[in-house]
Amino acid sequence: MNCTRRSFLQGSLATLFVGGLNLPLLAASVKKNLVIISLRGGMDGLTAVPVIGDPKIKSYRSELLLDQKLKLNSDFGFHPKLSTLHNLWKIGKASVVHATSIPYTQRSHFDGQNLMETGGLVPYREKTGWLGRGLKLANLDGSGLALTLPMPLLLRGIEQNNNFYPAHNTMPRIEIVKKLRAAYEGASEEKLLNIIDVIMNRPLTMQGGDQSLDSLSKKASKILQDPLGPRIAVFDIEGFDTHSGQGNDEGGHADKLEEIDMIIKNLYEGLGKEFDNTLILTLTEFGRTVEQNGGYGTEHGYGSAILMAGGLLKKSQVLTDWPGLNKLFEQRDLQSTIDARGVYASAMSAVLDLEFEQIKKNVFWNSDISNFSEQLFKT
Amino acid sequence: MNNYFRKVGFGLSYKETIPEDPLKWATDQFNSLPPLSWSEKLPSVEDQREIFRQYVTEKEKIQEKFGKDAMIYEKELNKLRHQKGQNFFQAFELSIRHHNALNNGAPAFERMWHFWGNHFSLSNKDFISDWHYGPYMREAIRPSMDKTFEEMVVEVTTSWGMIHHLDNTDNIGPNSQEGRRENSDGDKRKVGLNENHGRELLELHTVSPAANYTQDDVINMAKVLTGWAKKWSKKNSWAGPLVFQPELHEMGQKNILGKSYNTKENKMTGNKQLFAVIKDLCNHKSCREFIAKKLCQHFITDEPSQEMIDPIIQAWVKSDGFLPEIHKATMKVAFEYGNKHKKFLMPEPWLIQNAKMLNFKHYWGPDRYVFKPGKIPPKRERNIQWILEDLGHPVFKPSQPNGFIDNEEEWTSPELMIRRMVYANQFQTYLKNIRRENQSTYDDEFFENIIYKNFSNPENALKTVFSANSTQNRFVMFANMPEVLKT
Repeated sequence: MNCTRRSFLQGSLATLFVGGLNLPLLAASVKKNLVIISLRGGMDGLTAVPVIGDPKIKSYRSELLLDQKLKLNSDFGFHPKLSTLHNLWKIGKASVVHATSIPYTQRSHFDGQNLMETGGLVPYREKTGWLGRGLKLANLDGSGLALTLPMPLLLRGIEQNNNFYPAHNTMPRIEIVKKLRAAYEGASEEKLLNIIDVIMNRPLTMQGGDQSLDSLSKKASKILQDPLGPRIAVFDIEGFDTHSGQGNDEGGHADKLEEIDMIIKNLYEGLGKEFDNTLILTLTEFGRTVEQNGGYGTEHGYGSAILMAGGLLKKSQVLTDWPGLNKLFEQRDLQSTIDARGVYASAMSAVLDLEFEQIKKNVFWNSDISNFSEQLFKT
Repeated sequence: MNNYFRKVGFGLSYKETIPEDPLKWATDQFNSLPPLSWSEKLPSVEDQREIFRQYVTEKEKIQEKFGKDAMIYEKELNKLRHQKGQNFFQAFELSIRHHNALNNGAPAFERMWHFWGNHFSLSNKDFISDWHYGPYMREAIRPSMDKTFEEMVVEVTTSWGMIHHLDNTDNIGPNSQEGRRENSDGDKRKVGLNENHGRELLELHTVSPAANYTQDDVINMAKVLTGWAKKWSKKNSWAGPLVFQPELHEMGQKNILGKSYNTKENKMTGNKQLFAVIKDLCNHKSCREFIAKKLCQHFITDEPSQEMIDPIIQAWVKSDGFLPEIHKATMKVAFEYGNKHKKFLMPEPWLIQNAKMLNFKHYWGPDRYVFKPGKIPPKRERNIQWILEDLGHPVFKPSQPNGFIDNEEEWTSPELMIRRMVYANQFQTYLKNIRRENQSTYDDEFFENIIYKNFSNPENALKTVFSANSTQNRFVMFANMPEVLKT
């Protein structure tokens, strides 16, 4: 394949306008779910979604090349551990945005993750997350659920989000919790009262289980099915920072991709027909260097990929404005040609039934981001 | 009034008598540095850097040898971790910290020590939490508490941990001797400024964004910091000692917040330049206001009024930033406003307060820790680490350089509140760590004793605790009642 930027562009344009089904607008009463999986440490887009047609990759990372690839089209494949995602691809429910990143090029995990969640341009300046602001705009108090212990920055900015991350030990007996509630009521502690009510009214689906991603994602699929329950779920996977032992078909990165695939599998199987009203989307703070380092790993880079699944996708596709491997960003990283925040805003537009322009203005401060709603999602 | 012992300390135990003059009780603790309750054989920053150096260099060998096979690589790496105590030292250091908070007789001082440790946070990078944070607290923070704020900033800014976690070793003057050589030698590696430390020194450590510094100020701050770096050598790899290296330092004039350095009039160059800049930052109005407000937020309320902040600023100006005076002024403001304002406690001080008042021991005594290379530490040794992690407050492992956020909103999500109930439900099991002769009898009189001593509104608190019957349930009620969650 001749991996020039132009041919990819034409390819994607050609496929984008073919067979655009004009589905009737979904009734506003349908509950749509958005599941975010934060991939912390910097996911290597070239391992998750390898570029098939570019022989140049071999000169950069001979030890990290995949033997097996799950073919998507003539240009790209999935890593073999993304088998559920590949099955979903075959039925039109998986997509990729490639060579994309938030507009941050300094390669610090902390700053990068902060910006990935706030959607801002200066680390630590914003105190709320883009999803929290989006939910606020849609007046969806209390509809966010984090499957993590601290409330992720991503969801901050709206009241009454819930989180579920079961502790190792047991709760006090219910009579004691009720007595505590009475104490809060007697002391007019409104905020504490509010929280203890959320805790006491937790449905059975939000009890038990453990902190494994397997258990959490099974729980989440039950919770998201509740028509009155949360419509946002946020997961965290750590450990993508493979400076060494990154591996290829097996290895450090493969293990992490397997975790993404497991979450998607559990959601697909657990959500049943609600999967059609769901969108799953990954975030990461940056990609990794194209070239392998001395420890059979990679360093912090720039462009990466966004993995998506769910019935709210328009169809299966790789959306990219492929920069090629000839011209790397700062001679080392995959270039990012799509501001990932445009994809985030478009996804929120599709799930929260808000106009893209409204989100662009109120959530992303009118930043120069592109609208992918038409291309990527059922609207 | 009795709230005060929890407001600035950890409360009074059932054995303690109520100090006659609470304010004097608090301020006296800042007259000199109180010794640690546990001070035998504590590792120093250099001890731990050496062990970390061994870890880093041996890990590189393992990477080279086994990097191709992820399974063997992980196995070898795990062996190395235990060999160097990666799973040992954090729990050991936490144990010392809590033993000290409960036993050294200067709880207000200890609270203040913890405050500074969080203000000058080392975010969790490259195992800083495991090997380095404890010694950093003892060597960079604690001795500075008897000096000026400026001296503390110098100490912290030039500490190994701060330089390491804010990437200042990568901050190299492009026009320095080394920068010019590296950028013209034809290979791919290029060096330049890294603004990370410079930005945080302004934003988090001293003047805060209220000073309205610009991106140019940040760049100039980064230039001033060039040269302060870990010394690379083949033996040390990237775990070398901290040395000021003039060959990395960007020469020329720097302008920060309207002042110029290294000019004809102000000839501060090299390593002295940083000291001159820190002096000016610490004398900046925004710095005093920022720190005074943060102190009020920690001890009194999330939203302090200017009236509370002003006396601390005045003490600062009058004493030229002498920390004992700033600390005493804070104690005084907390005394005056404490009863009218409530502060929601972060999990660690909440845990220590409960341990103190209920007389349980949630940690393994520091005297019982012995580091044996290669040995996997037993669970009971690491318990304190899990508790803090589960409560959401692993104090040596903040995820960001701004440390743990000290306001109510941060700590009142459902799952974090569940954790407090869950662990309060466990408190009774920690009684077994106390020798029988030192245990309390948890009768009504015991609860009356601690509640009258520690609460300004004892009647309500008593009613709440006595609404449950068993000791275990009374512990849960006690620890989670509003009077204990907030001080």
